Parts: sequence; structure tokens; C-alpha cells
Amino acid sequence: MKPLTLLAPLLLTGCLATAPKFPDLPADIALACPELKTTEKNTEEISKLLDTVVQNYGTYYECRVKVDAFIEWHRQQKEVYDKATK
Amino acid sequence: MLSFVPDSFLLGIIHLILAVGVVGSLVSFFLLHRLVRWFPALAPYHLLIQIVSIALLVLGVYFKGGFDTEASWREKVRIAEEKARIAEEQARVVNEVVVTKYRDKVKTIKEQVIVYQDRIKEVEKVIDKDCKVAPQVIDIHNDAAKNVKKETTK
Repeated sequence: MKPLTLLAPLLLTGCLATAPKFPDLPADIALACPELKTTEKNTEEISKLLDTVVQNYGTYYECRVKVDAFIEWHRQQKEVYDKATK
Repeated sequence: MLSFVPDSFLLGIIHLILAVGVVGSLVSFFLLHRLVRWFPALAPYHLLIQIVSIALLVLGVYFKGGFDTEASWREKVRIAEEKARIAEEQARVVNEVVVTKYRDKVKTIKEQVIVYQDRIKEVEKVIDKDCKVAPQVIDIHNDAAKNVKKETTK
């Protein structure tokens, strides 16, 4: 009787063949947000400091767009997945 | 092995067994005693014909039920596979739309950063002439950018 239990996984092959797979996160959105830039220690010019600040604002907005894209991606993919698995 | 046999052929065989079982049972239980008058040679096989007919009838019903169950499961699998295929297609479209929108927004942000950097370059000499940055300002800025944990001054 025990050897028969080894055949049990074969009964699941039908499920494996038909269950839709939740999609992988697109590579662009899957990347982590970068570190913020710093200014060189002995910088005296405010323009250089301002340049770093501007770049960091850009980094923040890029990261925000990435998070928004992830939320939107997950919401839409969940809708599609739920509809397919109901 | 049976999966290699065409469904229509299998169904035909099942219907044949069922039909032979039904007809055989009806004949052997209700008509055979009359037929025996004209064909006396059948008399010794009366019971055997009844048993075989009933066996064929039972087998036919069993196979028919099994085939219908199998067909209904196959249909369910087909529907599930179709749903999965549609879902994969929709997921691909969602990926494309979301990534395209994301790339466009990032492109706009990068372009805007360049615009701001150009604006800084335009006024660079003026603002650098009037204002020198104290080293503490750089330290605070860099610490904030790196999110360095420091004790509060209070």
C-alpha cells in the first residue's frame, strides 16, 4: 500500500497544468531605488550643493514613480489573476 | 493507453456494449422463452444469455458513466486552460502598459533634472559669488542624504 502513495503526486499534474501563474515583476520596476547623492566634503560653492539637491529630488521622484508603478502593476495583475482563478 | 484511442471510437464501443446489453436483457428476460419454441437449440444457453446480457448492460452503464465523467473533467480542464491563457495574455498587456508608462515618467523626470541643472549653471557665478557654504551645511546635507542616525541635540 505504501508504494502507492508515491503515485499520489501524479494526481496533481492536472492542477499544475491549468493553474495560472502570478506574473513576475517587470525588471524595470523590480530594481531597488538608488542611494541619494552626497556633496564633496570641502565644497564651498552653493551651486554644487544645489546641484546635488536637484539630483536627489530627481532620484526621489523616480523612486516615487517606481512605487506608484508597482502598486498599479500589482492591483491590475491581481484583478486579472483573481478573475482567472475564480 | 485509452487516451490514444479516439473518443468517438471509444464512445461507439461503449454505446454498442450498452445497446447489446439492453437488447440482450430485454430479449433474454421477456422474449427468449417464446423464441425457444422455434429454436430449441437455444434452450440450454438461456441462463448464460441472461447472465451475459446483464453483465453487458452493467458494463455499458458503468463505461458510459465513466466516459461522461471523464468528458466533464476534460471540459473543466479545457475551460481552466483557456482562462489561464487569457490571464497570461492580459498579464502581458498589463506589464507592457505599466512599464511603458513608468519609462515615460522616468524619462520626463530625468529631462527635468537636466533643465534644473542648466538653470543652476546659468546663475552659478552669481550665487557662488554672494554665498559660501559652511562645512557644517555639507555635513548635515550628507548625513540627511545617507540617513545617518545621530543623537538629538536636545
